[in-house]
Amino acid sequence: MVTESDAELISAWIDGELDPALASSLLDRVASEPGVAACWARYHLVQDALHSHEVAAMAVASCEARVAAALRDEPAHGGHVVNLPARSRPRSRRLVQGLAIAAGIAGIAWVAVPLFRDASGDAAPHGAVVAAARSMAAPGRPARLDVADASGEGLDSYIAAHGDLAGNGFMPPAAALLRASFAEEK
Amino acid sequence: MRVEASTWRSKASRLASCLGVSCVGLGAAVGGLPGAAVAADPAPARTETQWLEAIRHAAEQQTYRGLFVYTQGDSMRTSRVVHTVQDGVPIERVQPLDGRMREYLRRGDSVECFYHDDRRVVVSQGPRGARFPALVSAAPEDILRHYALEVEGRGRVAGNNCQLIRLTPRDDLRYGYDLCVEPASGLALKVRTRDQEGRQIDQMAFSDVRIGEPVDASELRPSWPAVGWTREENVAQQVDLERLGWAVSPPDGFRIERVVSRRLGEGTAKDAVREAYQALLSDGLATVSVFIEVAAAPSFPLDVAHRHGAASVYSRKVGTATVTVVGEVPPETVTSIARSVEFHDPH
Repeated sequence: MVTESDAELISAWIDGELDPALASSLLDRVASEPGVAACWARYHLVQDALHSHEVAAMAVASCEARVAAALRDEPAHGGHVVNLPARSRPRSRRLVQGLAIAAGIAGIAWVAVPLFRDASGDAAPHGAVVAAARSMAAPGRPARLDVADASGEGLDSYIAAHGDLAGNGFMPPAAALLRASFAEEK
Repeated sequence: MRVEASTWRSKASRLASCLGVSCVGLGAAVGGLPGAAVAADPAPARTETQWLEAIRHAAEQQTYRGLFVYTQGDSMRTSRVVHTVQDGVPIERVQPLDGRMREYLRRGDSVECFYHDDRRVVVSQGPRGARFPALVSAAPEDILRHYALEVEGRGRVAGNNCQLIRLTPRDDLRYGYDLCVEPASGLALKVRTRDQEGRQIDQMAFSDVRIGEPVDASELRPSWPAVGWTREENVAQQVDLERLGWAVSPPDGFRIERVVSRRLGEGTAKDAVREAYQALLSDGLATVSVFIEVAAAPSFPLDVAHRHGAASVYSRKVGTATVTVVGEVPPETVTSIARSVEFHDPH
């Protein structure tokens, strides 16, 4: 059974703020209790909606239209905004626009993202994600490339070889290895 | 500008609350955690360059162990990491706790990968004298020419107070990073990579960490004796691309750190072993690999930018060779690098 305390623990863990002594038992419960695992998944979804490119997994036309309409209706996207290059736009205005876009996308993503998961719970392919992200790029940004999902395209050996030699710069050298092995497994 | 560590959590809480979603029923409080308060002890006074130096020194030269969590999209992997330095050589053991049973043991530039189910050890050996991670090779001043560093508020990760540091690229050629750094050691406890629109690409963070405690030799031994296992060696040799007729033009801020000749592929029907040149480019934080295969019959689409995990990938033919560029940078950057590659027959 999931308690309020469980929710607090999961929230703290996702934020990297959970006491290590509590983290181990929480992970055990996530692994063994479906209710706790479902709660865990919900909190990660919120995180995704706020930070991940997965929020752009709304590549279905009707949904994309809803997103476009929602963004159009945001006050920050009214006729007053001049499409200057992003770097020259005042920072405060970019921040307001960014928050408005994030709020609009996050709200819709909360409802929409589960609809684009298959029965196994996998997220929409990254190709769709990137395409949708491109279509929702902030005004003034240079046009982005068409980007496809490379999973299953036989590129794993390049990713692994890159991980052998590349460093992350900040984290232990292991970080690059883990990044590469993660991509291989995907 | 001060950014609280729990910024996104409070946003998530508000969003969840707004939408009436909760794990324990409507109206459940998910914020205001006990123990989440951030202590107000001051961070060491460091300049921007001193922060970068402290972080790079800690990543390689500190002794630490802990649980390391990699998150990308809605997927997450947890690994146990032990890192120390013996006779000036960084040694690191990594045990992924999910997915295929495997372990990595890195000694300087040599990496042994133990694949339990295949009873196989793959040893990758870099050229002597080359040092990574990439940050080591770039002066902080060079990094700061391409990234703006902001020291923000205090955070808390894995029970440790940490300093929030934001690195924002000054152009669209690279991604940005949000770090939380343990102030005394300089160890980055959390690194979030974000794209040009501020969306998270991936995140690496310790969920449990101990810094500076001595490491016992037994902690650096693999879990399996690997007796009777197949052992494959992949030794990279340093090469001079220009003498071979190849030219790669790095974009602004990137430079070629090393070029090696090495083997690619698992040796399976879908992933045949083949020889390639690998040039590693870096701007001090982001790294990009350029692979050149003189005789290759690619099975994947060419002239299309791909995304594979956190990496962008672009392949094209140059004469009869295949050039493939891979890196944790925007797709436009790998595309531009791939299109810069030229071959002029040296004979």
